[in-house]
Amino acid sequence: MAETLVFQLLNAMVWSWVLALLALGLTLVFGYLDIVNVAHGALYAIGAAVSWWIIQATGAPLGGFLLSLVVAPIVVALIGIVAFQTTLRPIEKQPPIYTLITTFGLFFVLQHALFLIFGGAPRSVDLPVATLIPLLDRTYPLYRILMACGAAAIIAGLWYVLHHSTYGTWIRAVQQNRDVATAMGIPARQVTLVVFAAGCGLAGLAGVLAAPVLQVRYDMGIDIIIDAFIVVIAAGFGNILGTIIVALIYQLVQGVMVMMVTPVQGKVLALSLVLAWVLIRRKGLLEREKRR
Amino acid sequence: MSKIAKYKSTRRQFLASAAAATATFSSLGAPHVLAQSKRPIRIGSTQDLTGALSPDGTWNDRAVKAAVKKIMADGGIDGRPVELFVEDTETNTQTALRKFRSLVLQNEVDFVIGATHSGHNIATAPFAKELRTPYFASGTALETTTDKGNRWIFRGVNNIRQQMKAMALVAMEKLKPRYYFVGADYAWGRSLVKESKAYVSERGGKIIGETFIPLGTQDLSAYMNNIRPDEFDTLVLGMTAGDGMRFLRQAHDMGLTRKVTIVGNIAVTTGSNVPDLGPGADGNWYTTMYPRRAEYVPAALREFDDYYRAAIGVTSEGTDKDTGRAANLPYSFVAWQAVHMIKHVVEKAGWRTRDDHPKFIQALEGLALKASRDFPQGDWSMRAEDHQIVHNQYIERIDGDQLKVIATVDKSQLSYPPENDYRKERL
Amino acid sequence: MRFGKLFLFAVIVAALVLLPYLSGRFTRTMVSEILIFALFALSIEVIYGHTGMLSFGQAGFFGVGAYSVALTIIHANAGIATALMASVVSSAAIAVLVAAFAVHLRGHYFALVTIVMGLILYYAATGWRSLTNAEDGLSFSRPLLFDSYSLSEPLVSYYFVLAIFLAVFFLVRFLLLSPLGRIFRAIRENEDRVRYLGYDVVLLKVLSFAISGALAGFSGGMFALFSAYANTEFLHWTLSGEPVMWSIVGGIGSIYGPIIGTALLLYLREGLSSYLIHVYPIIVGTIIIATIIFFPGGLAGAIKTRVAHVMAKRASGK
Repeated sequence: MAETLVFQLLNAMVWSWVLALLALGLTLVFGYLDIVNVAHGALYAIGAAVSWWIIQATGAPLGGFLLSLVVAPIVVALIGIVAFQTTLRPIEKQPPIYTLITTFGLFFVLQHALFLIFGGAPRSVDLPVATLIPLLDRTYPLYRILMACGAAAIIAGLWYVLHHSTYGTWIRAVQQNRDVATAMGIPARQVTLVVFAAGCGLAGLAGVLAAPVLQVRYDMGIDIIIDAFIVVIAAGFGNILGTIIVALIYQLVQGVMVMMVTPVQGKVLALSLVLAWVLIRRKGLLEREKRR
Repeated sequence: MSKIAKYKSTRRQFLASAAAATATFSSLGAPHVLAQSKRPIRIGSTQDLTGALSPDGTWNDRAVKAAVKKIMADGGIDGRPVELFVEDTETNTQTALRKFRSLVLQNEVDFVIGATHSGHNIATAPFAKELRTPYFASGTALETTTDKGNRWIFRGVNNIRQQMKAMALVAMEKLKPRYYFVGADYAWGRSLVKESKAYVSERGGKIIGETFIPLGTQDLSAYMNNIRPDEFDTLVLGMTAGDGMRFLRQAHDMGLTRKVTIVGNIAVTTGSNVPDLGPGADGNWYTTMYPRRAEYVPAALREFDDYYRAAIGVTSEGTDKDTGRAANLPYSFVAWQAVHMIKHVVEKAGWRTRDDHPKFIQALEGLALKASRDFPQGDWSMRAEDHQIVHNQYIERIDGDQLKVIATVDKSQLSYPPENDYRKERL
Repeated sequence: MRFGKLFLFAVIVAALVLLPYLSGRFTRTMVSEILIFALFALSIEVIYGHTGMLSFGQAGFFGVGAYSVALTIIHANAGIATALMASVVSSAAIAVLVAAFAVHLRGHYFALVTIVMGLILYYAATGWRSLTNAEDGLSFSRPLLFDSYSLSEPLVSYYFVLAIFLAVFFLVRFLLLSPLGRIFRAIRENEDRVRYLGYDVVLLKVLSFAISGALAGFSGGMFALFSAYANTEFLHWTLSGEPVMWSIVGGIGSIYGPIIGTALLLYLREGLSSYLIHVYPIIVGTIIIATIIFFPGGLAGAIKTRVAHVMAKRASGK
């Protein structure tokens, strides 16, 4: 019993970092641009698919993986830039809620375009690091721990850029008051594009990290995206620390729950818990909505 | 081809309804009053071309198309041409139902070949009966030919009971007796675990536990809680391609497969080359309907197998001749044979129009045919009572980067008393 | 103009009534399906088009309605009326429960919370296998209508769906044209002003969400009856997006828009999918995006603008 708990808690902590990374891409775009990107899950799948291609092409599990950590997010970010310019830029002046519908359409287009190119069969990616760490009566792959560390490092880097670089200041300035920022000479149009591309790139990165554990499939983003959504609304927009904490709590609750109920029931309980928390905190959310 | 057919069908519908404007309840009969007997025979095919089971669906689709092409080259069915209408179910039961209806009502197909998804087969069954259209199920959950089936459903593949019985017969002889069961949490996976458990306990094996995993679960760690590798020797695996592959990988990573032999259903390997399955698959046993590698096909069937592989574009290693990726031989023959069953039975029963369906059904009930190019899997017989076929079954083992046949179980060992007698239903 | 509209409406209804004599069984089945899903789309019109709150969790209600029908028929031997009533009551009850908390949220937050709510219902349904049979779903045989007509009869089924659709359509139309509908629209335009006028905005929003949920649940119930089947895929969040897309393409803010959009996209799905199996979702996605960019008012909006334009031209004497 205790062994299982240790195992579940470790695993929950590992996954919470990947979930936080995925949620951060969403919360960045949501918080700074007021866009809910439903296509985020499709971008995550594209990141994983690009990673598979690179590893296949290079034939090197570790080298190809490391290369895809650089290339895949760039590819996904470029797709994001094209998508933003063609579909979201034209509706900047429309009510923000329209972006939700547009990105839903985008989700359809991207996911099925990936199907056409990648096919429907799942593809597997070998663990870049094959070491298995003995843990109680079973083993735990070292890669999963490295994956969590990688996600954490990316998140830390993002935090640094947002809070300690000139560009980060620009981003926050544009978010607070776009007109004033433009008047101060900040290239607001460029900033919004960069933020969107970065959000997409993070989805791609999360896909690359998850690929060796989960296998790559064109529709792999369809369920995990909702987990990311709930983390975003519970943590509040642009709140990096909050996102990490909520992702951790959300995963830990599920990890502990499976000791008592089935994993699906555990998921229902975890979702309900986080939803209840959101609804209780609704006053705070309301005020924030009004201020914008 | 299908575009023209569609145009024709609307025009005929229009003519028909103009002619039958006075006959109110003419619904289905009307168009066929005008239909001539030399009208092409229309076959519909609902396959999982996209979604979770697309590796199965795309191969079934290839097999159906190749079979129709072959039949057309040989002069059609009973001298009549064949028109094929393909629909994608998106691996979604609701869509499968809708497409079935649209094939029958809009395209006026005479027969429908269904997907390997048992959920679709079971949900479609009542509509096959309501719309009076023979339906060939390719899925293997037991219920399709027991309490969920009816006289309009035929299954041209060993069901999960027969498949797992074959596995149990071989495994119980050679493997240690403590068993754990893991299944996908839907009709097929549940059915597989239930049937395997029955055979294992019947033969004195020890059942340690069971776990069901919902379709599409990404990280399986939460489901591996109860699986304690020290407590059993053999793990029975009933999952389909994507999920099964994830299970093998993650079970290996979590150290569950070190001292354990995994025996399972071949569906796990669909569309995957052996190296793709990862280290967790090494030494696994699978129950299968069709050897992946041509070298393991019995000598008597070689010629038919060569022909069949060439027709659907599969190499003697069991891979797609263009992409080099594994085909789905264990299931795609079902679709190939279904088309040929239609041909043989139509010709045997003198079927001309939809009104002859009762004749068709009665002719197929109890039919037994020999292996041929049309039936490369081998001899088979269609049981009259429950419309369940029986044919030989193979056990394959993963050895290095190959699937090797280690045993063949004769069809005579795979029969069981029928649970239903659909012949009691009026046609 | 008013007369013209009435005339057009009469022609459409007459065409629907005569349809079985004008076309084959397939068209009839397809129109039945469109009518059922048009009610689903109308649920979006109530909550989003009129009240201004975008719900992305309608599949939750649709699925609850479908299961209510399946379960009451299987376990309680219910008749059609009772089963449909159960679908309305259960989905409305859940909608009220959710709305009591969620209506305080605005914009994206409301939409996201409804997605999560739908997801909770979805997982609850897949996890409660003994009741719902999860992905495999429940198939059932349909009770007779008025104890004597079988829904397996194509004509019975068609006229049943048509009658129900017209009844519900007029009910919704009446509701949206009534003072209540006007207040819903006022909330959409300026919630604070409605509050200053002394209305209980929270209560009104809950009411709007309950009506919307009941409509979605009812269409789910009708769909289960139509297919003699319900499974948990009915509750999946991707289905929630469908009525939103239909409504957007048809045009929100008008009761006709969602119906036009449903008919158009479902017809397209049927026509395209057999030839362009994999390309269909890409085309639909593109249509949605193009609509949002070029015709934010949807098809109904575009027609309205066009007509107004012609009228203005005529009035100015050119």
